[in-house]
Amino acid sequence: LAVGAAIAALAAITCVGTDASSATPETPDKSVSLKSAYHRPTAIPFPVDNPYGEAKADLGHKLFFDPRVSGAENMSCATCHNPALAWGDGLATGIGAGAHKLGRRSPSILNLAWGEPLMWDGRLPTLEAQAAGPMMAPAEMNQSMGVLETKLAAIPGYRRLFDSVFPGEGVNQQTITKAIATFERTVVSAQAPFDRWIEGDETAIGESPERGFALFNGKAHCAACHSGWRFTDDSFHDIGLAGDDVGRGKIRPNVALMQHAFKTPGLRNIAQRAPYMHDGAVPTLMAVMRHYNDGFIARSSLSPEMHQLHLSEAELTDLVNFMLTLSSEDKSTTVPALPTSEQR
Amino acid sequence: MYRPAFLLLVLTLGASAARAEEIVVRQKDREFSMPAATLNRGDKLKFVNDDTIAHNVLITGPKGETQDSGVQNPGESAVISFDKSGTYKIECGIHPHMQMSVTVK
Repeated sequence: LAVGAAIAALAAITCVGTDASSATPETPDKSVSLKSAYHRPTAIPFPVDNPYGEAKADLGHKLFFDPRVSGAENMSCATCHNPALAWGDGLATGIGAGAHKLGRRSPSILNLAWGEPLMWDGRLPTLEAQAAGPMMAPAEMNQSMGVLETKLAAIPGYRRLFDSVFPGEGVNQQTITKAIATFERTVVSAQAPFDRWIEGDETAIGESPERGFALFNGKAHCAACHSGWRFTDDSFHDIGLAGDDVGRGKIRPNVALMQHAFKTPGLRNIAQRAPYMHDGAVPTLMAVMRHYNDGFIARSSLSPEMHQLHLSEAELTDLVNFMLTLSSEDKSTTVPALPTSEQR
Repeated sequence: MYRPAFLLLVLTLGASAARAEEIVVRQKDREFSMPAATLNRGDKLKFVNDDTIAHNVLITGPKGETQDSGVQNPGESAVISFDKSGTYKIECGIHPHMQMSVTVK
């Protein structure tokens, strides 16, 4: 075997019983304990080697909205991560250079300060690495980093900003991506009705979403992967979608469970982020619920968390209504004025 | 509730040694119970899934070679024997934030 190892023995006794945790009403203690797993953090984490700075975030904000970062100068990061569309693009799959249709959906950048590793297949470990990936990918923004460095350094306004934020470091891939990543880490979904309910406002959500929350954490088994306040484990699961994209299987080719596995997306503002899944193949939240209920493909790589749920129409509706409570009124995002060649 | 199920998966990384020690590593709340372990050749790690979700043990050896335990459902264990000196990276193939390192003297 691959590491000079041998499987000496393998014996299994199968699981017995079923998950019936939602069949009985929750006790108050259990409810409090469950809610405690969903409290929002109080601060955004920034890495030691790229700490927060207001001027750095402002520079990243400009770069994020600047189409000159793409090879043809016609796409910015915001083209696919549009704040008006919950930081996605609303399309089933992204559109890259030359109006080329890409193979996967543009993921939202909401709450990615906590969301590493990045990309549907987790191939990029940090936001800094991710910022460079699409810019340099021929199918996406088709930019040469060397060309971009020269281009930005030739713009007086940018040169002045880089000198101020990164004294003595210049305009290079590292400083460009550090600025963009810093801005991206500030993109955090605001408080939603669900958060107010978690904090004790019992009137913040209705009875149907409350039942949906219980299902989410019980019979529907959603929280096995959509866990915590962002509703993601930042991990990888084959949820039985059709298609030949092996996803994480390309990164972990020897791990059978990673075939057709994709990163669990967070669920904040999920109602604003249709269509769903890595390929945008599922149009509505109710259709997503039906997929998990009994619409998935059973195959050897299917996540062990996937089960036929046997949920009723009323239960599916409760789950959708619960997810609607995750929508927040986020602060407006300003489209920044960009440095021009003439700016002094 | 799932009742505990029992799986014994033994991966032997080389030949076993006499009087090998077995150390239990628990998989709970998407973490390994220890970040690192130092072993003698022939010692074993027993990974016990005390979580409510399935896990996996993916081993990357000193030369970058990999092997994994397959699915470990709640209650199941995987026993791995280490016979070759070196540094091994352990992660859950499903949940890559679950990581630990193993040094075999």
